[in-house]
Amino acid sequence: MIQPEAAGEARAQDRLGRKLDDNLNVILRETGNSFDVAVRTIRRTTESGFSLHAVLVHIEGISSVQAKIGSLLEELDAAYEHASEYMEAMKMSLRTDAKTITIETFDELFLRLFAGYSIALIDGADRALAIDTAEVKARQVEEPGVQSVVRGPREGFTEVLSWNTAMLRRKIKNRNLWMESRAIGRQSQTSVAIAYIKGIVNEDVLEETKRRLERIDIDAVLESNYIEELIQDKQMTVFPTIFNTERPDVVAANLLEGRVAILVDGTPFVLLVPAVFVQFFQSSEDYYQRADFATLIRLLRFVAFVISMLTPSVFIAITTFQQELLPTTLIYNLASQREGVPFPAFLECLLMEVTFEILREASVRMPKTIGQSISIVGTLVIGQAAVEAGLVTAGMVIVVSITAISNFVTPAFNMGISARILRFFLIALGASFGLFGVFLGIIIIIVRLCNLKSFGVPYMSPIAPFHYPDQKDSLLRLPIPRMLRRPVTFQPPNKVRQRFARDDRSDEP
Amino acid sequence: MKRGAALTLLLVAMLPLAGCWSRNELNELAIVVGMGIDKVDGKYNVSVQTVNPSQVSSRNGVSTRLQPVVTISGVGSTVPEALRKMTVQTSKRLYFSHLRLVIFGEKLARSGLGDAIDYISREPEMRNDFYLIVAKEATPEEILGIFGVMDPIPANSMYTKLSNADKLWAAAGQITLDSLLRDLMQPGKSPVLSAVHIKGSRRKGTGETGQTSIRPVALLEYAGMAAFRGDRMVGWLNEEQTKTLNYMQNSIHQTLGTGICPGGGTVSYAVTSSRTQIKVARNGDMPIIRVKIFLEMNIADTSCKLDMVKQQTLDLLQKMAEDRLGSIVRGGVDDAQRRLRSDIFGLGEEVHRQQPALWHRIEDWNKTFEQTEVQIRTIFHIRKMGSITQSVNSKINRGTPLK
Repeated sequence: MIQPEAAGEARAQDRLGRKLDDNLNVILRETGNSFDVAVRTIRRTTESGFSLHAVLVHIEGISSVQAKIGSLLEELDAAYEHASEYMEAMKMSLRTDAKTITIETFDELFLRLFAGYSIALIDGADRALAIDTAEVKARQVEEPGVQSVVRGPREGFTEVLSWNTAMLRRKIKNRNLWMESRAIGRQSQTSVAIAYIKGIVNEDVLEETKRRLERIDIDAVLESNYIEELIQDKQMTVFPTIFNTERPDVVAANLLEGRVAILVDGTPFVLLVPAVFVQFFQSSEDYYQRADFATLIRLLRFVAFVISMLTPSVFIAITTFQQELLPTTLIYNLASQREGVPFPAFLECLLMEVTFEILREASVRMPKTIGQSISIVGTLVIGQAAVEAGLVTAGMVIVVSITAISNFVTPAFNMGISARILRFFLIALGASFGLFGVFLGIIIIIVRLCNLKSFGVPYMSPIAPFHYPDQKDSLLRLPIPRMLRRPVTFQPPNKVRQRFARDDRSDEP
Repeated sequence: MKRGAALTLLLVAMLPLAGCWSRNELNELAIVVGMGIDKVDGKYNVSVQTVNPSQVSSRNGVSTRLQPVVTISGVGSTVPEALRKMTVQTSKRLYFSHLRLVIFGEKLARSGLGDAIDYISREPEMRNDFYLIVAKEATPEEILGIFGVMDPIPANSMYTKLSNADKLWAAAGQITLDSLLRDLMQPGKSPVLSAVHIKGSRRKGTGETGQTSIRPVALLEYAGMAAFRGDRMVGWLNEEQTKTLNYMQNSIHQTLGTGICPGGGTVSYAVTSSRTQIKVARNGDMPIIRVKIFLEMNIADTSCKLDMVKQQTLDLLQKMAEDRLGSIVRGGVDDAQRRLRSDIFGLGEEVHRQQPALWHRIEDWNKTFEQTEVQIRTIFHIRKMGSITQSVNSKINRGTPLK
C-alpha cells in the first residue's frame, strides 16, 4: 500500500474545504484542466430530505468509474443529514466491493487520483472518498525474453507491480513473505516495493537496503536500473554488484537464500541484493536439470567467460611477443597468414572487435524485419571478405568469433558486458607488454573483484572469503538432497533449508 | 577523485612509452629451423635454414616460384658474430625459438664443441628441445642445402625422422642440448651425437629436381653416431655400435634383429620391450661391470625349415638371438674400449653410483675404462609367433619339379 511521501511544499498541508466547488476548482486548476481528468456531477435530493451535491473525479484510461458507485450515489438513501455522515454510509456500503480510503489533504487526493482511484467529493464534507477503481492496461504475463530456459517455468514478470508481487505470492505461500512499498521519484511517484522473507533475511542487509532507498531523491524512476545505480556500493566498477532478473522463480529462490528483492513498478526487471560474483553465472535452469549436467554447464560458463575476456589479448601477446610459445607448425601457419596484412596484430584485432561490436549493436536496434540482412552482411564483412581482401588474418577472425560467441554464454547479460569492456583493456595491455601485461591486467581485475562488496557481502564470496559449506552451490551444483543449509554467505537467521529426506540422521539443529 | 583521474591518465600515457619494446609481428621474423656450425680456416662458418611460411602453409597452395626454406651463411670469428653478419642477407630478424636442429661439421666436432655450444646454451631465445647432430662426409652447409622430400622443411623432416628412428630402431639417438651439456660435464660419461649424411647425388639434391622426381635423387639419412671424448670427436659408430650404445643406455623402445636358422632360412625378431641392468662389482682397485639385457620379442618373419610349434625350436631361436646380440654388444664395448678409448655408455656413472668409494679413488676414468672388465649376459623371451606358426616358405606346395 502506498505511503504518501511528504512533498515538502506549502500545499502539502492544504486540507480540503467544505465547499465542493472550491475543492473541484483546486483539482482542475492544479491539473491544468487536463482533458483526461473526468468529472461526473450528481445532484439530487434524497428521500430523507438531504440535498446531495456530489462529484466523481477520475483519470480516463487508468481507472473506470464502476457503475456501482454511480448508482450508489443515485440510490443510497441514508437517513443522515450531514454530508460527512453520508460519506461514511457510502464507505460502508462500498466496503466489500473496492478499497476505499478517506482522504483529507489535496496531496493525498492527487496521489490517489493518479494511482487510478476515483475520488468522490460531496458538498459540505471536508473530506473526500477515494475508491480503488484502478484498471490495469498492460502486457500480459509472457515468457521472459532475455533469460529463457529449456526446462522451467515459462512466466516472466510484467510491468505491473501488483501482478509481479502476486506471482511471488503464488510461489511462496507464507505469511513470512513480507512486502513493503514506497513511492520514489518526486515527479513520477513510482511504486517501489521491497520483498523479503522475515526470519530468513539478514536484518542488517534489510536495514541497509531500506536506508539506501530512503536516501534516493530523484525526479523519476523509469526503470529498475535507476534504483540500481543509486544504491549500488561502488560506482567505479565494470562489474554489476546488483543482480537483476525477470523470472519469478529466480526471485523466489533468492528470497529463500536470504536476499532482498526490489520490485519497481513499470519494469519487469526485479533487483536482488546482495549479489555475489558466482551468482551471475548461475541460471535458474541449473536447478531444473540433473546436478551432474548442471555442474558441467556451470563450469563451461566460467570457461566461456574467461575465453571471452582473455582470448584476443593472449593471442596478440603470444603472436607479437612470446612467439616461442606457439607450436612450431602453428607458427608457420600464422606467419603465412600475416604476410601481406598491412596492420599490426593490435590494430587488426581492434578493427575486428569494433566491427563486431557495431554489428552487435546494430542488430539490437534493427527492426526485426531487416535483422536477417544485417546478419548476412555481417557474416560476409567480418568473415570471408575481410580475410580475402587481406585486411585481417583468418586466425584473428577465428579469435574474434570465439570471443563473441563465448560472451553470449554468460546467463547474466550485464556480466557479459563487463567481459566486453575488460577485453579492450586487456588487449591494450597485451599489445604493449605481451603476456606480462595480460597477467598484470588479470591481477588488477582479481584485486578489484576481491575489493568489491555488495550490501556488506564480499563480492567474491564464497570463494574469497572462502566458505566451505557454500561450495555446494557456487562453482559446482551439488544434488538437491545435499543442499541442507542456506548459504552462510548471507548469514540468514534461519539456516536450515531441508532435512535429509532419505536418512534419519539428526545432526541438524 | 580528481587525483585518481590524473593518476590514471598518467599511467595510460605511460603505456606507449614502452614503445612496444621487444615486439615483433610474425611476418617480421625469419623462423630459423636449422643451424649449421663448422670451422673454416680457424673461423666459424655458420649457416641457418629459415622458413618461408607462405610456401609451407597449406592456405595458398605451394607455388613453385619461391622455395619453402632459405639457407644463408656467414663467417665470423665467433658464432654470434657470424650470425650478425648474416643480417645483411635477410630482410627479417632471425628468430631462433623454433630451432629444430643444430648440425656440427666434422671439422668443428674434431677440434672441440665447447666454444660453439656456449652461444647456443647462453642465448635465451633458444629453447632446448632441438636435436644436435654431426654432419658426416659433408659440411653442415651442404646438408642444409638439400631439398626435403616428404616435408617441405628439411630440418623439420630430419627432426621427426630422428624421433621416429629412435623409437622404432635402435641405431639412432636423439640428443638435446641439455643431455649434451650433462654428458660433457660428467666425468663418467662421454657424449655421442647422431650423424647425418647425404645419400645420393649431393649436387642434384640442391636443385629443383630434388623435389620433382618421385625417387629422391638425394636424401638426408642418419648413419650411426659420432663418439666424443670430452668435447672432441674421436670417431664414428657404425650401426651395430650404435645399437650397443642404445642397449647399454637402456634406451631401446622397439627394434628389430635378424638371425640365420640352422638348416637354412632366416628369422627376424621384433623387440617389443627391453631392459638393461648394470651391476658394478669390485675387484681390488678395478671395477667389474656386469651387464644384463632382458629382451622380449616377437617373431616378425621367418623362412626356417624348423617346426615352429615346438618348444625346442623356440629355445634354439632364443639361444641364437641371445648369442647374436651378445656378440654385437661385446664388439661394441670392445670398440669403445680399444679404438675410441671413450666411455660413451656412461658406465663411469654406474660405478660412481654403485661403488662411490671406489669411484673416488679412480683418477682418470677414461684410462680406467679401457682396462675395465665388462661381462655381458643377454636373456631373451619369445612371446608371440604372430598370426601363423610355420613359415610360409616351408608350407608352399611347389609340386614335383618339372622334368
